[in-house]
Order: sequence, then structure tokens, then C-alpha cells
Amino acid sequence: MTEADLLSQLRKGDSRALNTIIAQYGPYVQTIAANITIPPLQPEDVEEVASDVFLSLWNNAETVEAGKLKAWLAAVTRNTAKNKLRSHHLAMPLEEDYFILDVPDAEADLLEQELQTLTREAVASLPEPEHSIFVRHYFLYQKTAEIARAMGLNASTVRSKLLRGREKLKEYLTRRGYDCEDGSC
Amino acid sequence: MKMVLADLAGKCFDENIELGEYDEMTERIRRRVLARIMNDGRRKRYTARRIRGITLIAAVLISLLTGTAYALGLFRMNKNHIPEDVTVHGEWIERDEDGNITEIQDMRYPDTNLTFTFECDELPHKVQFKPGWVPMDGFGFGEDGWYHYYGNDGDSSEAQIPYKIEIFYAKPGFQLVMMYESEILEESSWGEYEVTELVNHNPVWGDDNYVLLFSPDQGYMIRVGGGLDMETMEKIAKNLEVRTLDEQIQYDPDYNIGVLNVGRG
Repeated sequence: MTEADLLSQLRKGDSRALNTIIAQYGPYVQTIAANITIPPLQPEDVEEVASDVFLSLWNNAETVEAGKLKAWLAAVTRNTAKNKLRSHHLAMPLEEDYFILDVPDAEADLLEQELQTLTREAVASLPEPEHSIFVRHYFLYQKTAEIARAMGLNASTVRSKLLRGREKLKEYLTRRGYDCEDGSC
Repeated sequence: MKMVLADLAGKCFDENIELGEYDEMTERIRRRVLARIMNDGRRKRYTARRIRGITLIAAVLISLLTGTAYALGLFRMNKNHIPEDVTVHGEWIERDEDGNITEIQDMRYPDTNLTFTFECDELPHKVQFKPGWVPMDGFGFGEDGWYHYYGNDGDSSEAQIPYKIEIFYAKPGFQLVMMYESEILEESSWGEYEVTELVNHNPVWGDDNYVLLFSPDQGYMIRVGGGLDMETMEKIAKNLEVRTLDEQIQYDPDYNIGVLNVGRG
């Protein structure tokens, strides 16, 4: 069954379609949720986040385009997991990894979309394995040890590739007019 | 302006990166989500209201016809055969806290050949069942081993839903739709019940078998349905124990159509 067929059945309220989607993407969703929330939260919180994501899919199936289901699930999982941390007044993971951009704070919301688009372009232009390492760490919140295990690399290689990816991103943003300094500890 | 790299990377999705493996947590998530959507779907249809001064009702055994049946009045179920070119439709009305309509959903079913409607002289009383035999354990909604919904969703590797047992109540003006093409195999009587056995041809997931037990005395229908064979459905149905409660069902007039098929949240 194609993804379009599954979404079509889902929109008709067919729970078997949701069952199939959970079977296919459940591990993906729960892993992203765990990457973001553990620690400081518990496995039960991961289950709650993942359940909320699939319930959101059930209630909003008409908003998901065929061919974009996995991307939708990834984005909603990131947001749901981060909201879970916020509800417990906990810090976000990877908050210590940031750039300082020379733009007024008042313009932050306006520029965020553009900066995300530029970042996607920059990351897409990275060679492998920098590309996958960057996405795994900063989009999927995978820890460096896990990335190393998943990609068959050693941890120091992962860390150095991450550093290289950050440098290239900084260069890309700077070339496009954003004066960018590395603010990370 | 401080920009966290993880936020900057908010659009850096990569289709090719896979994570995780199906494990016990995934299975718990699957069951939890399916249970939640079933429960949420049912809450839209019925709201129970307690009645003062009605005594408790004795249990009724389907297979032995012992105990006392509580006669409320006459209920009638009509099986309506729908022609191929006809679309069955109804409405779900959503309201805010003040009762103002916020949304009217036009529910349309173009691919059904069978619906059920009812005539009632009374409001039915709430009933619960206890499965005396099931082919494999399931989960349900109820209390102390008595359920209004019980079933098994199967596992993650199969689309088949083995069996589901659920209670539907007679309601005037309400259409209960059996989506897709249904073929009635047998109509009979088991004690107080009018029994309909049918196979439903789901074009996506395959055939499901159903045993529908309608009580004209008490105005409820028990649906036993799923992907297992008809003999198994019959055995489940014949081993149900049913009791009637003092609570009377109050219908929500904002929902005048529903679906009888298994797997519908």
C-alpha cells in the first residue's frame, strides 16, 4: 500500500491505516522523542510524547501531504517533545550550541524562517558523512556516541565532523549577509 | 541575536535516515493510541444518564436464556439495502460550551450497500457484556470485567483486526452504516436475539465477518466482528454474558450517523 493510500484511509477514519503507520514509523518517532527528552525525563514520557504525535496525526490527517508523512512526523515529534520539556520547566537539549547573529532581537521571529531555509541549503551541500552527522545531531537530537555507533565511526571523528559542519554553516550564513559568531561554550 | 543550532536545523529533515527498531515500547504506544481513538470515537455517540428509582436488573445469558429480561417496550431494527448509485449521508454537529454550533460535518458514505435504522418506544438501558470465550486476549473499556467495548487489534505486522465486540443502541433517526459491500449469510434467532451473520468485503484490508445480535426487548445490538472466521465469531457471540444496568442511555441529537465496521475510530 502506498503512502497516499494509507493517508486516504486514515482520513476516512480507518484505524488499520494508523496501525500500519505506527508499525512503520513508531520506532522513528519514539527515538526522536527519547533523544530530546531523556534525560531528564523518563521512558513513560517518551511514550506519552509518541502517543500524542500519532493522535495528532489521527486528528489532522487531512493536513498531511502524501510523500511528506515522515517529515511531518519528525517535525511534530520535535515540537511535542520540546513542549513536554517546557511543561516541566526543563532546559532544551543542545541549547549550549548556538551562533550569535548580528541582528536585532526584535527581528528574530521574522528571520527564523529565512535562517532555517539557509541552514537547510548549507547542510544539503555538505558532503557525507558531515551531512548525515549534522542532521542526526541537530535535527534528530542524536547524541554523538549514538551517531558513531549508527554510522560505524568513532566518536572523535563524529565530533570533528560536527565541528566542520558548523564551520561551513557559519561561512554560508556569513556569505549571505549574516554576521555570525560562534557563541557555544 | 542568539540562534540555537538545533532550532536553525528545524528544516533539515532527511528522508534517508532511519532510527530505532520496533520494540516493547513501540507496541505499548501502538496499543495506547488505538485504545484512545476507539474511546474518543465512542464518547461522541452516547452519553449515559443515571435514572433515579430504577431497581437493578438481573443478568441475561445468551446461550441458556435463564434469568430475567428487563422489558422496556418495543424496539425494531431495520436492515436497509442501499442501491449502488446512492450515497448515504448524515451529520456530525460540533458545539462550543455555550451550545453554539461551531462545525457541521457532512458525513458521506458512497460505497455502502447496507445500513441499519431503528424504531423505539422507549430509551434503552445501558448494557454491559462479559466475554466468556475469546480466541486471544484483548483490551476493553468497562469496569470489573464488564465491558461496553472489548477487542484485539492484532499486532503491528498484520492489518487484520482479529475481533472486536461493541454495543450499539437503538436510536430513532440514527443510521448505522456498514461501509463497503456486505453480504448477509444468515438471519436467525438465538433466544431473545435477532441474529444477522454477514461478511463485509473491505476493498483495502480484505473480508471481515460479523455476528450482530439485536435485542428487540431491550433495544441494543452487540456487534462481534473481525478478520477471524465466522465460526470463531459465532463462538465469541454465543459465550457472551450480558447484564442490563439502571442507567438509561441519552442520545446526542447532534450525531445522526455512525459506522458499524471494525477499525473505525
